[in-house]
Amino acid sequence: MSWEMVAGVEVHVELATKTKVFCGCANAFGAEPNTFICPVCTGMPGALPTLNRQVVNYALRAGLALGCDISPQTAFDRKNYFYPDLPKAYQISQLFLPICQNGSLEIETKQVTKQIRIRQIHIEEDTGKLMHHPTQPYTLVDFNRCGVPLLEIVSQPDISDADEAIAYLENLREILLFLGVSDCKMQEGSLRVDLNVSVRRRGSKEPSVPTELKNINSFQAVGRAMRWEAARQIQVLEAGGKILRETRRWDDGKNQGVVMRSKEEAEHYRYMPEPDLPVMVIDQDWIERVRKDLPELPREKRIRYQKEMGISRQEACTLTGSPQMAVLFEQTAALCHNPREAAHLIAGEVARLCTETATRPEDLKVDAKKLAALVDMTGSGRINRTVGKEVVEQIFRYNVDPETYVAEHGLAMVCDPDVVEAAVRKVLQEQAKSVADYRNGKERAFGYLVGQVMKSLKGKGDPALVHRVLHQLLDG
Amino acid sequence: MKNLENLTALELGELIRRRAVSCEEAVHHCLELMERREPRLSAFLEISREKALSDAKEMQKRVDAGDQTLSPLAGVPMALSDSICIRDLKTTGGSRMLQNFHPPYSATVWERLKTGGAVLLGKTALDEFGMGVSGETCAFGPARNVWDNRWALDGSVAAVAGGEAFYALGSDGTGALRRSAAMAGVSSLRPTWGTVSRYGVVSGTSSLEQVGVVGRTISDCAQVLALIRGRDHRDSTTSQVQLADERSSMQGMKIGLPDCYFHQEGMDPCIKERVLSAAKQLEGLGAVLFPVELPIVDLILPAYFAIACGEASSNLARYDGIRYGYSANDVENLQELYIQSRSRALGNQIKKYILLGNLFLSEKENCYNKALQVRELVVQGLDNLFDRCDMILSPVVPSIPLPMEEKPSQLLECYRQSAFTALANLAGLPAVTVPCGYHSEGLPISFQLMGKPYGEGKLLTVAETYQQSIGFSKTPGEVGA
Repeated sequence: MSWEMVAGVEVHVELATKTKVFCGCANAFGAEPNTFICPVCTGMPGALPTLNRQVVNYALRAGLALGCDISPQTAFDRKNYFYPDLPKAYQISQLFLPICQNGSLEIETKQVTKQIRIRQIHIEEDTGKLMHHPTQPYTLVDFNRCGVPLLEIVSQPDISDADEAIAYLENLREILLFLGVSDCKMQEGSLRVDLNVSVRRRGSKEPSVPTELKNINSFQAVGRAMRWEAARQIQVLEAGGKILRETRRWDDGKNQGVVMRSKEEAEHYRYMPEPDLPVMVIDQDWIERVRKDLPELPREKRIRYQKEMGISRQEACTLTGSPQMAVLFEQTAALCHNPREAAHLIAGEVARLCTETATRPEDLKVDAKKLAALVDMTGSGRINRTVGKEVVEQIFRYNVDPETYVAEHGLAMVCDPDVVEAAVRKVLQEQAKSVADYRNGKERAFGYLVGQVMKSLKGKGDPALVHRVLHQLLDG
Repeated sequence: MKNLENLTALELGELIRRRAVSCEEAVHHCLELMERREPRLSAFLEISREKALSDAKEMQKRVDAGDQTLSPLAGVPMALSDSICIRDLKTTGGSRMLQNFHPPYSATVWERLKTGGAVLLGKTALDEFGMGVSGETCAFGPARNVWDNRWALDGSVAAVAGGEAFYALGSDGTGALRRSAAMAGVSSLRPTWGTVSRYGVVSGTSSLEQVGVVGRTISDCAQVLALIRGRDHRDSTTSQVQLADERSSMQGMKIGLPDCYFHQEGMDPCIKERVLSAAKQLEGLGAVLFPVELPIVDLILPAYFAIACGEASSNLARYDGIRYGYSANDVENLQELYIQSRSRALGNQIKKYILLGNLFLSEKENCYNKALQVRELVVQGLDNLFDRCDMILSPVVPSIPLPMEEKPSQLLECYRQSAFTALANLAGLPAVTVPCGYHSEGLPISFQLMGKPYGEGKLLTVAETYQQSIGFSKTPGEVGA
C-alpha cells in the first residue's frame, strides 16, 4: 500500500525595517558585534518595549498579499525560556491574537496547481547569535540581532511532496521580495525554514505524528530533508514502529536529520500576555491605507507582460526574477518605443550579464534611460543587434552612454549598398571554396559567408542588406 | 539653622522660592537628620551626600536667577526607591542579584523630577524586586518604622516618616508602599496604572505595578504626581488620557463602604473603628456614605496573586548571570551558571514567587488564564460599581502585621495583608492612603480610598479636605530618638 506525505512549512523572515521591532536600534546585518544594542534589546531591568509601526505595516502588507484576514485587535505574548541569546529570557511573540490569519498561496508544480492554506502570520523578535570559540571552551554572544523584527508565516499541512514545498517557498519568497518587506536571504538567515513532516497511507485521514525539522539552509535542502524524513517515517511505520514527537536538526552534508530534542520531554514555554505592550487596534482605515500601497505582485506582472505587451511567458518569468529586474524592465519599457525589444534585451543580455558577473539583484545598477536609448537605436536601425549586444555590456559594466559610445567607436550600422557590395565581392573572391560549396547545394555555406561579410564590416553591417546583396551576387 | 522638620514639601518649596531657606540649607537639614536616624531606620541603601550638596548648589543658582521652569518643589530634598534607575548610579532593586548594577539609563520619572528641580538624597530600601509585605525582604536589610522599629517598612516610606526626606517615590506592585505608609503615619498615592511611566523602574509585576508617591500630606503627593505623570514614548502602556486631577466639591461625594472588607474574618476591631470614625468625619464634611458589594470579591486576591507570581517569574528570568548582575564564576557549564547564579543571588521570598509563577503559568488553563478572566470580570463589575459611587473607602490592612521577627511565612502573610490593597493593583485603580489615628499598639492607622481609573481628582479632593479638617499630622520626629 502506498504512502503520502503530509507536511507544513514555517517560514521566518527578518523584516527590512530601518530599526528594530521594540527599540530604536538600527536593524542591520554584518556590523561589529554588540554595536547596535541598547537597554531595551539587551533586556536591562526596567527597559520597556515600544512597537515599531513599520513592522505592523509590513506584516499587514504580507497578510493582505497572501489573502489573510487581518485581526482587528492584535496583542503580544511572552514565550518564556532560558538561553544566552535571549537576554530577557522571553521572546515577545504573538500566540493568542496573531495579526493575520487564514490566508492562502497558489502553487504550481509539474503535477498540480493547488492552494496551500496559510494558518497565520505573526510578529516576533529575533534572538542574538552565539559564537562558539573554535578551540577554547567558551562562547560569545552578539546581541545585534536581538529585536530584529521577524514575521513567522505558518502554513497548514497541505503540502504533499518536496516539489510542492519548494514551489511554495519560491512563491512566498518572490512575493515577500516584491512587497519589499524582506530581502529573504537564506545564507544570511533573513529567511529560515522549519518543516513539519508526517506521512499517512494513501486514502487514510490520519497522518503520523509530525516531526519538526530545523536548520535547513537552502530550498534544495528542503526537498532532501522532506524526502529523507518521510522515508524514515515510512520505514518505521512499516516495521510496526511508532513515530515520536521530536525535533530534528537537518545535517545536509550527511543527508540526515539528527534528533535535537524529544517533545515528549516537553518544552514548556509558559506563554503569557505581554503586559508591557498594549493591545493594538487595527482599524479598517489602516488596512485600506496599506492595501492601497500594495505593489503589483510578480504573478500579476507576468500576466500583464504577456497580455498587454505580448512578451513570452519565459521572458516574463525572467523579468520578474527579482523586483529590481522588473523595475528595470518597466522603466526601460516606458521610456523606449518597443517594450518587446526591451524585454528581449533585459531577459536576454542583462540577465546573462547578471549571471556571468554574479551580480546580486540589489546590486543591479543599470540606467533604464540608457537601455531605452539603446533599444530605440536598434529599433530605428542606427545599430544592429550584434553591436547592440556589445553596447549593452558596456552600459552594464561601465555605465557608458550608448549614443556617445556608438559615435566614438564608429559602430553605426553600415547601410550604404555600395560599401556592402564591395565587402561582399571581396569575400566571394577570397572564399572560393565556400562559394563552390554553396552552389553545390550546401546551404550552410551561406551563413558562413554572411559571417565573413559581417566580419569585414566589423560587425556593423545591416544584416538584411548583407543577405540581399549576397543572394543577388551568388544566385544572380 | 531654621527648624524645617515640621514643614511639608510644598511649604519648604514655597520658602525656597521666596528665598527664606536655601536649597543647601534644606539638604543639610536632611543630611543631619539622616546621620542621627539612619542607624536606627536604615531607610537608605545609598546616600549621595556630595551629589545632593552640589545639586542643591546648582539648584540655588537657578532659584536665584528666577528660573521659570522650576516646579513648586524645586530644591526640596527627596528620595527614590532603589528600583528606580538613575544613569551610572548603582541600582539594586533591593536584590543581591543587582548588587553592583549601574544602569546606563535613567527612569523617566527621575528625568521629569530632575527637570522640575528635585534634589536627590539617595536611594531607599525596598522588598527584593518590590515583592513583599512591607519592605522586609530587602536583601540588604529592611528599613524600619520610626514609630516602632520592630516593624519593617518600605525604605521610601521610612525616609519620609522619619523626616529624612520630604517626599519619595517607590513602586507599588504588591501594595507594600501603601501598607508601609499606613503603618508609618504618612500619606501615599498610587496613580491609575498607565498614568506614570514605568520606564527605567526595575520590573517585578508589570501589569500590577505603578510608581507611587509617599509624602507628608496628600497635597504633597498630588504635586509630585503632577510632575511625573503623562504619556512617555518609552513606555507604550502610558495612557493618552488627560488625568482629571482638578479638585471638585466634597458636597454629595458618594463614598462606598465595602461590607465584605469591614466584616472580614480577622478584621482588627481597632483599625475598623478608626476607619469608620474617619468615614463619619467625611460624612460630616459633606460626603454621602453607603455600603457596597465588590464584584467577585473572593477571587480578587487569588487572581491578583497568580498574576503577580506569573509576571514576576517572567520578569526576573532575565537575571541569568550572563550580561550583568551576579554571576557564579566557578561553574562548569551553562546550566550550572543559571542554577548557581540564581540560587545564590536571589532571596528565598523571591524564589517562592518565581516557583509559584512557573507553576501558575504551566497550569495555564486552570490558573493563569482563570486569573486573567477574573481580572476582566472585576474590571467590568467595577464599571457598574463606579456608576453608583465615586470611590471606595476601606482600611489599608486587615490587621497590624506581625513584627519582623515573628513572621511565620512571608508569603502567606503577604497574601493576607494584601486583602484590601490588591484590588487597586489588579484593576489598575488609583488609590490614596490617609493617616487617621493610632492603634492601641501605638502604630498609626490609615484609611484607603480607591477610585475609578483616572479618577484621581475626586480622591485627592476627599483626602485633602479630610487632612485640612484635622490639621497636618506631624511625623513622630524625635520619638525614641
